[in-house]
Amino acid sequence: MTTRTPSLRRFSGRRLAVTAAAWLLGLYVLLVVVGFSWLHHSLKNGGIGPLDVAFIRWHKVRQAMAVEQFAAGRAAREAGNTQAAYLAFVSGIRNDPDNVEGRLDAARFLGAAGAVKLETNVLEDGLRRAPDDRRLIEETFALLTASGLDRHALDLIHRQYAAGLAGPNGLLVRRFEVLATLNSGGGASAKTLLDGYPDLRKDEDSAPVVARVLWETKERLPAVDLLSTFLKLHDGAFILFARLAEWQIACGLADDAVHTAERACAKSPGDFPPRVLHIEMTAAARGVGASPWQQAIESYLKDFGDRPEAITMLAGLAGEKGWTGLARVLYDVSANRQQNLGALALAYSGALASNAQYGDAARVLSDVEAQVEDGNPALLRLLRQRQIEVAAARGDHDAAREYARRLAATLQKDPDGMEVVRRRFELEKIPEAVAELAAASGMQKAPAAK
Amino acid sequence: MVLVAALSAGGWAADGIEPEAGQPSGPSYFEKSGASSAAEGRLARVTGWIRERAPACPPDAMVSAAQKFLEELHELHPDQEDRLLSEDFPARDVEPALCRQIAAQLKGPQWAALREELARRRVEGILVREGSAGTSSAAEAAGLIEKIKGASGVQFRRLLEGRMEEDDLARLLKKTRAGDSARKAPVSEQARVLTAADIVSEFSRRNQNGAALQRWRAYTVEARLKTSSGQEQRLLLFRMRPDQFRLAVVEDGSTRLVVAGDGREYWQQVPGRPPEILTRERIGTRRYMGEFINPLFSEEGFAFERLADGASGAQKVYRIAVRRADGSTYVSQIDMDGFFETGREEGGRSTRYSDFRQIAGVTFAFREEATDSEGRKGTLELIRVTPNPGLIQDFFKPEAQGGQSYFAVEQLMTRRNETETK
Repeated sequence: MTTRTPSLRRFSGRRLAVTAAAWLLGLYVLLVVVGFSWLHHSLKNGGIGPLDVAFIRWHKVRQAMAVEQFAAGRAAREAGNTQAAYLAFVSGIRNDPDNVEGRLDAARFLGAAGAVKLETNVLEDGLRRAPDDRRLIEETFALLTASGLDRHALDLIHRQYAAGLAGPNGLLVRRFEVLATLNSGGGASAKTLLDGYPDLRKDEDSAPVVARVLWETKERLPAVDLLSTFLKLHDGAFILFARLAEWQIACGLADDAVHTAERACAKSPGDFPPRVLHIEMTAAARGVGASPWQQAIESYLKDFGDRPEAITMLAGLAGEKGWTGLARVLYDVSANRQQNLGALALAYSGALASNAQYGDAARVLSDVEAQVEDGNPALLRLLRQRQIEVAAARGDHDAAREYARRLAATLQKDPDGMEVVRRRFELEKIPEAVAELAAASGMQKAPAAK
Repeated sequence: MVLVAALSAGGWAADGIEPEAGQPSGPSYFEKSGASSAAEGRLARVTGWIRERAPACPPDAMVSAAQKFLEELHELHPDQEDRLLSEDFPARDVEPALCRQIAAQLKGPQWAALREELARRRVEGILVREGSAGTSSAAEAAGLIEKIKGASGVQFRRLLEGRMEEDDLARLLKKTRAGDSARKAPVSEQARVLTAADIVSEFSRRNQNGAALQRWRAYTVEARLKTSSGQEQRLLLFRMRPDQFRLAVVEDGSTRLVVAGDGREYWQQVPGRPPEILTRERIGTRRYMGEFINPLFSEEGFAFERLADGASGAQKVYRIAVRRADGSTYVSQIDMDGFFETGREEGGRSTRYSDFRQIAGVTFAFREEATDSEGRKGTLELIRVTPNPGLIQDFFKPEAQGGQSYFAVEQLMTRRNETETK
């Protein structure tokens, strides 16, 4: 029997340590190779290098993954694959919540898909992370003020930018503050606020908001001049053309209104909303049934007759303006081409109601109600709104209250939507509907407060 | 579907049509019922009944329910309204209507249990009133509600929310019970001699899921018709309860003919001409396009008689004579295995049905082959059936003179497509 000397034991221990280290190194290299291959080839993340994996730069890895996911989201959106686009965009945001470009794309996609609530959340979350990003400020507040969430926009401005209203983005934030105040508190409050921001009046980009304040405070011609000048110098959005044309008609500048509509059409020749505006302005300037109006409609039908959404939009205008014959014929012809006629029926009922044929309008609405599915909340919401308006116009306050209750039930998961509708009825002076929606809204808030 | 048969018939004429009267606006219950003190008394009495049945119901909902109930009573049974305050008023008879109005006022999940109880009382009330309840009517009602719940979530919800009207509910209960009894004895169908009512009932049960048809208020059928001469047309048939129809015959993207009616008045229109009113004689058998759905689904207004069985190829069929309210008759052939309607014999014409598919719970034959008395054949292939597309009653009436013409607008809308094709 032999006994090992201490040197032999040391030698053996060192050898064991070297072997173990070599094994560990080999395992590490293997893991890096496998990890890199998986990320690079399987997940197609070309932006990730071997060193990112080797040095475990998780942040960079996730950023690179997010870039790929946002790209995949855009591709899926273009291909019309909504589900894949949604998953890719959500994963992209989760992996890199600070990628503003990707987040904005994701928000736009959600908005286009009708998920406005999600779109708002995505933008607001981005704004919390990057409060000084101009694009995020612009898109978030534009969305909030366009969706009737003006009080929420004001809360956010006062909470997040109270100290920064004079900062580099101060002008932009103040513009939205004035706009949200105008929408929620009326012209007088907005005017007071605007008077405190003299630089906003001089800011060219703020001209549309300043013009709206002027309009609401009865300075109508200056408002028209300001917006008109702005649209001559800038490439404004369609909504600004529509607003200007509407103001021009209200000021008796009918020819100017038609001209504004024509400019909007020339700016986007392939779009149908400017053409609907043109029809509306032609009717106001030349008269309904007159030759230019007929020609505008004929030309519209020739150009967009094969697009159901364009026909629905024209029918909506016919409903709003009380052009019963046009609304009816669009319904009749579309029945041969579209499977869902609910929106066209609502437009027709609107035309009947505009001509004080409330009984007929109510009958049309009853027909639609009997066929509308619970799974179509958008149509159900429009239907209930119209039922309330028709019932109120007929003086049937009980029915208006009952329909308001049903509308509140439809909107029970959408408190923002409920508030928007409540304000609409406030403007329309239908107190029973306002009361029902306020009560339902209060009932929603009470459990939340608890 | 009797499209091929209807289209192959002939004869068109004109007749007068009365203008549609607008619906009058509705005065409130107090205005309608005259003396307000009596009306208040009735309101108090009905509110008392509601309190007995649903003590947890909020006071404003009680009053609303009572008002709605009284309005309905005023509209439908004004004689009962006068007796409402008398001691011998049979409150039990109006129990279902009352429970419905209470349920309609209760919104929100906190009332789920109460609404279910009201639905049970309502069903029980109907069973008792019809004299069809057994010894334990409450248990029977609860059982029927369970079956409705299992068969159709939508119907169940409509029942709970008080959105289902009395007639609809009675029909649904009848069907649920009929389905029940049919399920109890599946093996005896071949063994015992089935009556016409048995066969029709079984047809109705087998050709729809639960009471799916109840949800159908209107529908559109898009089809392709090939005539014996090889001509091809696209047909669009629109139907709305109770008996409104509109048929558009489309060729090369343009409508060639519109025929429509609402059970009383019929009209047709061709391009370049105003709508022409048709008499009942001239519309002829085409008026049967107004039958909302196959009469074998036990819709009202038909009588059934079992004839000697027949065969269609190797398939044995029941033969049922279907007599309409106007006295006209046709023979329906129902295959003994699947209970599909595989054929019809009517006035020297015969029609074969095949390619059965279920749409929103209701079975449709997607292929029809009709042969007339001279041996000419036509084929109809359904492309699409769309339930509840949003049809409105005005759609079945002719367009007013002086408005934009349907044909002119359609032509404009079709022009771009034609240009692009060229």
